[in-house]
Amino acid sequence: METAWFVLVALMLTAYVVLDGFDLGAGAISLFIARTHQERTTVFRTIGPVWDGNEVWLIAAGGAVYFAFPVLYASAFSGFYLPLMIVLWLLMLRGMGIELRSHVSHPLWWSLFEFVFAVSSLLLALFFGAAMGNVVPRSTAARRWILLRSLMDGLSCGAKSRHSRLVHHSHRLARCCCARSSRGALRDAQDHRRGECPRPSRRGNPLAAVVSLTVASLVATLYIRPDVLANFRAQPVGWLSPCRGGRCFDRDATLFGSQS
Amino acid sequence: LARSRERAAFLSSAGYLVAMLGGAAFAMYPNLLPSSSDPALALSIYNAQTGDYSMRVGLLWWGFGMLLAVGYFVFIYTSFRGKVQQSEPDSTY
Repeated sequence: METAWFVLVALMLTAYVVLDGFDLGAGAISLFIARTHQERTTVFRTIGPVWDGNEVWLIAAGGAVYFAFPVLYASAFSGFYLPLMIVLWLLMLRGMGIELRSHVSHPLWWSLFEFVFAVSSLLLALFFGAAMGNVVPRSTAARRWILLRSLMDGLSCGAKSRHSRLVHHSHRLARCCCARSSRGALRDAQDHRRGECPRPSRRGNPLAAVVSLTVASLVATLYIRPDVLANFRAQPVGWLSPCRGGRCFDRDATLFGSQS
Repeated sequence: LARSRERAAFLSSAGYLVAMLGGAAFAMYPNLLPSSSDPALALSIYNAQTGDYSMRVGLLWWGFGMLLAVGYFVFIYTSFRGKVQQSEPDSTY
């Protein structure tokens, strides 16, 4: 039964990343692909009906964790208090950017909220990446499961050696960028799907970036937590997932490659 | 990006993300929050779970909730399907 809930929570979080991923990506690149007021309005319209619906999956996953694994909910929320507050504020700023932009018809007002929307979307993607990078390798769990880790811990000199801290950070960064660039890619696809994208986005070579980041984050993960592959060794069927990812990536490569 | 293959590009990007996250979840199982100091202190699904009864009841209600959520998603994505028009009269957005 607990395994079923583990799978369900993972499923809901994945749904959230994919769905909210494209409207976060929309926000993050909106300042670059759309220059005029009308083009930016089009970006807002593209995600307008669905952006807050997509966030339902984050809430649902949080609710399911609260209900099925209360100890995890308690320790994670008190341990990651500061990062969660930052995420909450970013979510609010993003919502404000979308909702308030059209309330006053003045260029200054528009550009203020377009900026708020774009920056908070970008930072949200970065923070989700950082959260993932924090949880997967390690988190400092002290006695009684009270987590002491906060964002600042990562920045201050702790018990960890300088070297491992460095790897930890680069790993985290790689994760973030990875999440970010694939979201950007997702977004591009979405743009094109809706026949929007008024200007061709000037991207260098997205493929090389995604490949190198995937490899870099994988190597860093293996360096920090060598036991991460234990489950894969024990149950070879698990390899299906990354392999499928590889296949999707191949298709991705050919599709996005033809752009540049 | 070949214009004609937008759907395939979108699907493969989404598939890549899903597969990578699935792989991460598979590697984590059964741990929810691994500990850096002592593996015995890590939160796993076994020491963090609630009672058996509430899990079963929760699963039932989760089913209802998901029916609503998925139904709503199908509805909203089909009613706004297709491309966004640039020439629409200015509305809320």
